[in-house]
Amino acid sequence: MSRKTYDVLIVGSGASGGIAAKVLTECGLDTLLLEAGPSISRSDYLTHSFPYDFPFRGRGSPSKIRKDGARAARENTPVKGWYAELSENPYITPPNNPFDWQYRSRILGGRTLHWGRQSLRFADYDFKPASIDGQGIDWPFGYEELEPYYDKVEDYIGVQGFYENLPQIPDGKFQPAFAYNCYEHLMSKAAIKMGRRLTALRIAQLSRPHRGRPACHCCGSCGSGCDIDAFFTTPAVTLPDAMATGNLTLQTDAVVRHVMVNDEARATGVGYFNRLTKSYKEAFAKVVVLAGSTLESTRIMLNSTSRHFSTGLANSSGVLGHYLMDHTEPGTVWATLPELTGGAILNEDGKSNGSYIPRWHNLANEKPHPDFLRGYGIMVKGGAQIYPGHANKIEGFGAGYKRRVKDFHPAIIRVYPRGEALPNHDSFVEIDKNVVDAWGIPVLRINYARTDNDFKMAKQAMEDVFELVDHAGAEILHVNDKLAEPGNVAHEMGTARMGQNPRTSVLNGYNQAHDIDNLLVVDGAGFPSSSCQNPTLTFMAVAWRASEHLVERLKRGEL
Amino acid sequence: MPKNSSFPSASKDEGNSRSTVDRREAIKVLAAGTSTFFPLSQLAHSRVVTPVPVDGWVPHFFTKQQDKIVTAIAELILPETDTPGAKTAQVNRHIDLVLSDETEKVQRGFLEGLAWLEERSRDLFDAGFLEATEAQQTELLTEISKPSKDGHNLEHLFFLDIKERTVFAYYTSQIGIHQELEYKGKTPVPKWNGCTHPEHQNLTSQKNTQGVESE
Repeated sequence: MSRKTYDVLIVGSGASGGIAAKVLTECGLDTLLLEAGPSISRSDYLTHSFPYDFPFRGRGSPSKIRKDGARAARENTPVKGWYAELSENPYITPPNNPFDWQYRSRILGGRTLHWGRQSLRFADYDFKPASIDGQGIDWPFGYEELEPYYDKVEDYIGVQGFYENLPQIPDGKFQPAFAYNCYEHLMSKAAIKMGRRLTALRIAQLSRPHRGRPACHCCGSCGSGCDIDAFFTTPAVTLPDAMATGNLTLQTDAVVRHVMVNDEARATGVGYFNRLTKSYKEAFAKVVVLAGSTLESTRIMLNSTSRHFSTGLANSSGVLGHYLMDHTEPGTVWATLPELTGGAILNEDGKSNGSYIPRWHNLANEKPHPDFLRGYGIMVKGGAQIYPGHANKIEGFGAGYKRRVKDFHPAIIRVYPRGEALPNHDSFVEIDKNVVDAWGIPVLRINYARTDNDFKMAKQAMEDVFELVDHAGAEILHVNDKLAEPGNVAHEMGTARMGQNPRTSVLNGYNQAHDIDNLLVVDGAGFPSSSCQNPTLTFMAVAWRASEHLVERLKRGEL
Repeated sequence: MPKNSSFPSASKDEGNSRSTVDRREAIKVLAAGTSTFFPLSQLAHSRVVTPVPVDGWVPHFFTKQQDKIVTAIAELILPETDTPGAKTAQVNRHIDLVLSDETEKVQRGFLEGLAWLEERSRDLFDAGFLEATEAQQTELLTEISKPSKDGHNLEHLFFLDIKERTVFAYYTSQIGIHQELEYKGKTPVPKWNGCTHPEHQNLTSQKNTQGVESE
């Protein structure tokens, strides 16, 4: 049997893998893209369904929830792998130290099928944190080097937003933002009273037709998948472009186990299992690009032990698996705005987006906060949604109770901060050899460790939320002031970090492994710090930059 | 994480699911006080031949009597007002379906809660819950709708459990979504206008926004 060697082999078809596939194929490289999950088409989406269309009202049966987790059980997303099923994809956490990894996907397009689409650039200071406050390491490149790639990604995927001229959230190339709902106007006034600025969350959801895709029609059902491709997904945007080049070979249902290396300690390809038949196969390429999502890419590397790499692939530094970060969510305040209480119920769900107060603590040229490093932004969401999440937060029962649920329905706001997590060596993942997934591949043990900074930041963040709510004249309905379980925000970053120093980092500034120059990791695993902004836009910009650099090196014959 | 909240889920947006589990597990302890009167063999699913309703629905999990009590409690929680209540929305059927698929522990906890309520009704009113007047039923529910001083009385946890099940089933029904809460989404909108109320507008939010269409 002839053995085909591709120019490049990409593992994972999410946001990062999709960008890599687009850039590499458009530059003429013969590219194989492996995706662990099944393929999907728009006709599989149940976009306009209602909860009562399903026996368990969309939530899924208790037995399915027990078996596969609450997310995978959901009935409005019935395609396998939309959320990874826990029964097939188990993982381990230590007792009393949970990590919520239910948000991951194993399907063509990965999490882009259901992501929140929030697309904020990281700030200039996010790339040099160690230089500013001494904690962690700086990125091997600065904002100015990533800026053209942010431009390219925004221009390509379509992002709507306000121009704000704030250094915390650098402006980019935006489509006009959707008009505010009532509560957003009121909350923007409250933010001004507090001396802060509220802005529309920048979101990869078209407000105008763009590159052959239609504008969002505001049906407000984004979590079930976008049936018109108005929000960015890999299958809607990057994959068709990569396919059109004729240079892409797409292989779904390919569950990668490990990267193969030769005697010279260079990557030669990957070993994988067919998801359905579980038969083992191998694929070969001159360059291997991992983009399986932060923890899956690292899991593949940790499972790729060999004579050269006994503790995991490209792990001469010993930091592979370490410095796992997920954004913190210090709590949520539910409150009601008196101006809107008892008012008309409008279609506020259709906008399917919220608003945001960008970070203001510990900015350059300002007095550092005495208690914590870095900072957080505050998410402000609300308005009448399909389900009154506040109903169980109102006491009592009866006709008066029913009336209050309805009166509060258009008046509800949910305010929650999202904070930067510091890189912490004690926050790490490792392979648990005693537990394997459905394909016999050893699973991760996730040992997440918070830092004191998380708690100190959370305290101030909640005080700020209360201040904001107070300025709005809102009445507090419910307070949850517990830090969300790690992993719950689903912004996993780190575990194969980039850095200048090969002794303290896994990847160089172009996402190449220091130890193996034909191995790249282009997803969130490479992030040395986490910013407090949603990371996907930056995943894509970094992947684009790394892919262009890879093409240059291949063309120069360096790999 | 994108809390795509267009669908109800067991995520934290709709309440702390872990505390729900704790609560349901805690309810099983109710047995300690009631098992003398309600041995588990009687609490457990003992299907008797029941007259079949018009549309053929019969409870999978509850006995006919239990189903009636659940229906009555649900209607007390979300009664008919200017819109239909929990009974018309057939909340009992959804609670029955979900419980039929729960773990035995959860099932038992719920049935013991019901049994406690029945026993309490007899103690207070000398009548079972269904035979009590609506005022008496309301009195009993009011009693357990409030937490005790330590906040952990099991009857209150049972109340929260059945309330949560009722609320979920009602507000995910056609009646709850369309009639009661007048949901207007899941329909393509030709142009998104947002808020058009002059009294809400914040003009400063429209400044400094080059590229943004004014409303």
